[in-house]
Formats: sequence, C-alpha cells, structure tokens
Amino acid sequence: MKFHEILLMAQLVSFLGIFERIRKVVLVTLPLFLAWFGYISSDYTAYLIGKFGVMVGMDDFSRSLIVVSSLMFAVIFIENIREKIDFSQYFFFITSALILNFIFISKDFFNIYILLEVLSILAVLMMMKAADKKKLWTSLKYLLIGNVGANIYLLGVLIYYLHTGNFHVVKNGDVPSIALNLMILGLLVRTGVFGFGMWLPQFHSNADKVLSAMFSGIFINGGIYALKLINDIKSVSYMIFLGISLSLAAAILGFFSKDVKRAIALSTMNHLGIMIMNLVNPSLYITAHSIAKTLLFLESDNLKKEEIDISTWLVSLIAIASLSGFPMTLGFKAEHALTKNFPLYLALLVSTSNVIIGASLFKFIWKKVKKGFNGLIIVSLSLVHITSFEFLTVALVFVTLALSLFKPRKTIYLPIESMDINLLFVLGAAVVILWLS
Amino acid sequence: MKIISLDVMNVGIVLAYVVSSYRPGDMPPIIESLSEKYADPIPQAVIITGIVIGFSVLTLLVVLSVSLMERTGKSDVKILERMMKE
Repeated sequence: MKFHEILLMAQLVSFLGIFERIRKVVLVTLPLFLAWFGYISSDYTAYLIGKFGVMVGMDDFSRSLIVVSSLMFAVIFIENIREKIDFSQYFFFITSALILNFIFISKDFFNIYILLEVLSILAVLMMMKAADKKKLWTSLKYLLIGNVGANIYLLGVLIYYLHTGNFHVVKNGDVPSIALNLMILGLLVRTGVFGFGMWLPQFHSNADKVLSAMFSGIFINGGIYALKLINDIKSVSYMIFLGISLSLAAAILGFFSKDVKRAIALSTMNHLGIMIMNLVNPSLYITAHSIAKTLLFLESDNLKKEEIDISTWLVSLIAIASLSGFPMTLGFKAEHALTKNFPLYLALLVSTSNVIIGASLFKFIWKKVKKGFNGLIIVSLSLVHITSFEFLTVALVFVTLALSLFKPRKTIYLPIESMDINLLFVLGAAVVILWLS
Repeated sequence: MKIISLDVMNVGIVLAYVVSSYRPGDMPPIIESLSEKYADPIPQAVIITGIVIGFSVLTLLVVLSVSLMERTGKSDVKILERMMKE
C-alpha cells in the first residue's frame, strides 16, 4: 500500500475521535502507526489525478522526516495524556499531523504551497484557543508576514510553471534562477529564518508549551523539506554564506535574552540557519534538532520556576547538550555529518554559533539546580576529557560553560522584529531579486 | 491598511496566474474539435485553491484584528508593538 493511501485511511480513522473515550488513544497511536508505515514503505513516485495532477513520491529524506516528525507528535501527546482536550483541539492536532506528513511526500510545488498555508492557518487556530492579547497579536503578525512570504513563493512557482509546463519537481538545469530565488525567499519568510521571518521568536515563545514544541520542533521541517527540493533542482551556492551569517546573528541575539522561551525560539532560528547551509544531506541534523527542541520546549514551563527537579534538569541538560553539539550526543554526530565537506573556517563558525546558543540556554539550568548536580556536569565533562575526542571539541564545551556564567542585564530586541520593518525588508529583498534578473 | 494591501497583493498574484494561461487564439478550454487552439487550463485550475486560501487567511486576519481592537482599543501597529514588548 502506498503512503498517500495510508494517509487518506488515517484521515478517515481520525474521525473516531468524536467518541471521547478513545480520543486520546487515537491521538497517540495514529502518529506511531504513521511513523511505522513511513519506515517500512519503499521508494515510489505517483500522480494523484492524471499526468498534470499532484505528484507524490517517497525517498530516503522524506522517510526520515516522516519517522522523526510522527514520533515527536506521539511524544508530545503522551506527555500531555492527562490533560483534557475537546474535539476541535483534537481535530486541529491530528489534521496538522496528517498534513505535515503529506508535505513530506509531495513533490509538487503548488501542493506544497497549499499545505504550508493550511498548516499555518491551523497553527493560528490552535493559538486562538486561549486568546489573550499577546497571543492574538503574535498570530496576526505571523499570519500577515507569512502570507506575504507565501505570495512571493507563489510568484516564483508561476515563473517555474511558465518555463517547465508543470509544477513537478524534476531535475533540469534550464529553470531560470529568478523563479528559484523568489521561491527560496518566500520559503525563508514562511519557515522563519533570521531576518526574513522575524515573527518566529514572538510566535514560538508566546504559545503554550505543547504548541511551541509542535511549531518549533516539527512544523519547521516542512519548510526545510521544500527548500531541499529547490536545492535538488539546481544547487544554490549563496545559501552557505546566508545560513552562517544568519545563524550567528540569531545566536548572538539569543545570548542577550532573559526569557527561557525566547532563547529557545532564537535557538530554533540559529539551527534553521545551519540547516540551510547544507541542503544536500541535512536529515541527521534535522532529526537531532527536532528531538532536542521538542523535549526542551516541553520542559520550558518547568525551567521558568525558581527550583527545578531532577528529571527536568536531566532532560534539559541532554537536550541542550545535543543542541550545542557536545560530544557523546546525537547533535555532535549530526554537526559532524553536516560540516564534513566544509572548509575548516566554516565548520568553526558553525561550532561557534552553536556554542553561543548553548551558553544562552545553559544559563537557565545553571543556578537553580539543587546542590550537587552542578558537580555532575563537571564529572561528566571530565569523563569526556578522558575518552578525549579532540582537543578542539573539549575546549568548545568548556567555553560554552564559561560563557553561560555571563548573565545579560536585559533582553535585547532588534528593530527588525517589528512588523513594519520586517515587511519592508522582505519586500525589498523581493524587489532586489526581480531587479537583478 | 496592511490587510487590504495583502489582499491587493494576493489578487495581483491570482491575476498573474490567470493572465499567464492566455495564449494566442484564446478559446475557452472546452474541447469541441481537437484541432483548435485553446487557453491553458492548468493555472486557472490550480489558482482557485489559491483564491480560497487567500480568502480564508483574509477572514482570519480580520477576526484577529477585530478582537485585538476589542481587547486593547488600539489599531495602530506601532502602539500595539510597544504594548506587547512589556
């Protein structure tokens, strides 16, 4: 059975949720089943309605994304199994899970536009559940800026269509770069890369912990998937320098943040920047980031308290270590795989940006731990030293810890975070792209 | 104001799609005899989804801004931005 048929079946099954008894069972088991089916399904390409219809396809990259995203959905729902959810909330959750999986198998630019838009509408509807004015304002901002990005993307898709005759992702070098540039710009805004989509820090940090874990850990994978498709058609060379400079900027801004959730959201921007540097094979990095970010956001409410218990401490320690690429974590492996073909200075810059963001996150679990646990960090780091990987990585670990002792006096906001200047920046970039070609 | 601008932008994109389907000899894409030239139906077919999405986003934006107005009494973006930072 093909995966898109399974998705359709899952959509039918999800209507079982009208019965309140089995709602939670469906919510947890359905993503697990999707992950399993995604894992066992083989490669294929298919057209949904005739030759001009939607093209879907399965390959290694989509498989890894489906598995990790579905598993993280299940983790989020298991974590909140005690809380009561009504049908509308349930419907939004399960539909967003299915739509995200559909993004990962679609090989059709117009279809990706539709699904990303529906996903953002669902995100806003989920946010509006508990409506205080901050949440309303950030969702307004998100919807407006994101939709401008989507329109720019749509313009790029139109030019792509005029040159190729369909919307499908097929390798050919003749595609004019203006189409791809416009599509990339739209997706950068939509996904929330630093500078282009500055709605992200506010939107992700004002949401409830379940929602922000979902947005930050899982939803951004859809945008990265679309960027990877564009890169498959024609490799984009300026992405490396764009990515590293934007991720460094996000890391430095995150370092001057006194709010936990804002720091975590800015770390998402930092890692997005690193992901777009290497779009040839980012799947391991996405996996590592997705797992760590979901866990960290689920613990973010506990991190705000004056004193934190052992389980929170342990989970967030591991998550942060993985995010900042410490040895013996998945993040270390992923960073290594990502920067394998880079020149040394670029790899060092990636490490630097990860170190800065790691320091900005570490300071939130540093002082509040009960006595004795801080010693554990030292002991485990000495173990790292004994099994010594490289002098450089160990040095980076200690630099991170030393930096995390620094506490900023107040949170810094950049002017580009306001809606006007962000929109001006995005439209200016679009005009520059149109002008240059 | 921004919402209206966004809608204008959206309509512009829709128009671009519709115009792009024009070809010389613009019969409507209904086949009567196979030899005739006819307009490209694909962009017209897909953009209808784009119109629907644009409209739903527009309604959501209006709902959000109206309820923001009710809660804060302000509609200026700059004032709202300053209020939300605290």
